[in-house]
Amino acid sequence: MIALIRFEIRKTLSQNKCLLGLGCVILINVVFILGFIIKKSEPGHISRMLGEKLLKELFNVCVYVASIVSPCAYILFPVLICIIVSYVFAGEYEIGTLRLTMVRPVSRLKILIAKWVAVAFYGAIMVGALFVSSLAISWLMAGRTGDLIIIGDVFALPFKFVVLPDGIDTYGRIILTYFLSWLSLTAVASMAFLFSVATRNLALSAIISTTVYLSCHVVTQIPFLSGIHPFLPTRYIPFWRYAMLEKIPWEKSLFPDMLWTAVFALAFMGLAAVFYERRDF
Amino acid sequence: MCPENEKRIALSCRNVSKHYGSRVILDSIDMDIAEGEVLGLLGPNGAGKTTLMKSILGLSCPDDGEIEVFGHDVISDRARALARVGAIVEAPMFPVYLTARDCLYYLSALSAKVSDKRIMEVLDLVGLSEAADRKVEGFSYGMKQRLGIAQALLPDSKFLILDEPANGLDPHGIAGMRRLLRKLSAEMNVSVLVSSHLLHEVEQVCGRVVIINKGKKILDATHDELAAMDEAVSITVKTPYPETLKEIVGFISETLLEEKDFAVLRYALPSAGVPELVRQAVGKGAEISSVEHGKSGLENIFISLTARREDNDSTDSF
Repeated sequence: MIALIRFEIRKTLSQNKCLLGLGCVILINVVFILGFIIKKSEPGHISRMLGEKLLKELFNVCVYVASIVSPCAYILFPVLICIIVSYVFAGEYEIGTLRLTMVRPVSRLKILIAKWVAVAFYGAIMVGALFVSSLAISWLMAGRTGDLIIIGDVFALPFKFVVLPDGIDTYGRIILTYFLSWLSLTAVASMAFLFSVATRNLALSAIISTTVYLSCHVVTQIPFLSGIHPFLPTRYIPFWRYAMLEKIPWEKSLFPDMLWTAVFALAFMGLAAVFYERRDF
Repeated sequence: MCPENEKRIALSCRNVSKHYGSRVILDSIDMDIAEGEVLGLLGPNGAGKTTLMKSILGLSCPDDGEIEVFGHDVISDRARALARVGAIVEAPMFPVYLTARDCLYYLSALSAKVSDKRIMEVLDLVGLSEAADRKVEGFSYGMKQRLGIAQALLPDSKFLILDEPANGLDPHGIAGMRRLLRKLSAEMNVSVLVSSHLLHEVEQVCGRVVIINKGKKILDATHDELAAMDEAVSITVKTPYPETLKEIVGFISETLLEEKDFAVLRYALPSAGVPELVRQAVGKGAEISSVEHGKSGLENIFISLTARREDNDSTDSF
């Protein structure tokens, strides 16, 4: 199993397509810097909401590093992971390299798990790259740390803003958010594997998995459609955002949502394994 | 059917059947391969060769029947069954962003740990030692085929399943592969199941030949039996003819002619046996219109067995 995982990781990381993720990290940083610079010069309603003292605090390393994780964990990385999963499974099937692995004495379930681990590893690298790059860039731009001001809108959380004082706990919070966002990505990968195994077509797999994820995500953001929310994985997958609340609701929200996300992920992988086992290659 | 009965059975297929909807891909295939035996699997395009190979490797699940490799069932005990099996099925495609050495290292590690020295030995054996550290991206089709053979040999395969291994190889490569298969079989007791349309190569390398057509096994003959069939007598008889003609010793096949008024019956017989064959056929009530005798070769045997017939719209033409 270790040899299989090493092979899958090596294959995943050796593909030029994987540089796409690093490109995305650079791009989001550029857009975020520009957004921060514009906001700094034209604060608008933020200035009235935060007041002059907090507004000065707003442009620091902590705020930047914490804020940038939100668009990446909600949209950018899930879409990226769906595409990479499509390459890793359906792409390999189409090219024919999957067969080379399958004629070896390893079970299909192990191959699927090894590919999932490789994608999870890739996701960890992307999350890590985002953390390091945002830390470095914001340090260069702002030149200082400060209190962590969490704007509710940024994380789709139901409050205007929260201030967490600069300190070890605040950094712990940020690192926890990044870690949890990586865990949520592994659930998205499970869903993408299901569509990849079911379609065995690179383009179709990428389109279906991103469309399903984004559709569920959009519906989850519409309060009018709250009746369907409990049945959508995207209701639970962004559990990482709870780490940005003033008091983390471990038992009330975070753990239950993590559990439901794990249930969805296991169901997706279980179905993917059933499809994989039953098909001829 | 094994020529050397004292040897262990490497592959045993019993009653293997496979359907896709109403289309029969494999129809009750029985086949054995002994250790050290080289068996050529022949058949027209779409006959079911690749499906049979995929079934042996567990890539395709038969609807019926049993397949065992070295005594282990490929469905229920796949890991043990394929522990010492190397294969090329269809064109071998490698991750193009890896080097040849890396491809072999990672792939063979899925079966067992392999030293770098052994990898280089195998690369040398297939003539790719100088390209060991080049990315597969820049390989020609023939080089990829050689690399495919190399990965099949690693880590220490005792049974090779090679689907069209000579595809894309230059004449040096084909000759090299022929020598390699002979050596593996004779010196290292490696069993080989090889499918190819290069019948001349199959004749030279394989100790036994199985021909399948439309999913059915229509011939299973050793080299000696093929040599005997090589010298064949064809009698053209008016249809309908007595079925007992098929019971005459040496009967190989029947082919209905396009007009359906006549059928050609083939018998594996030397020229000295022609008078006796004619006497027996006439005695059984056959109306013979012509008798031909000659050496046919594997190609002619293949064509005559798989030619277009009333119940077979297969591919002796484009």
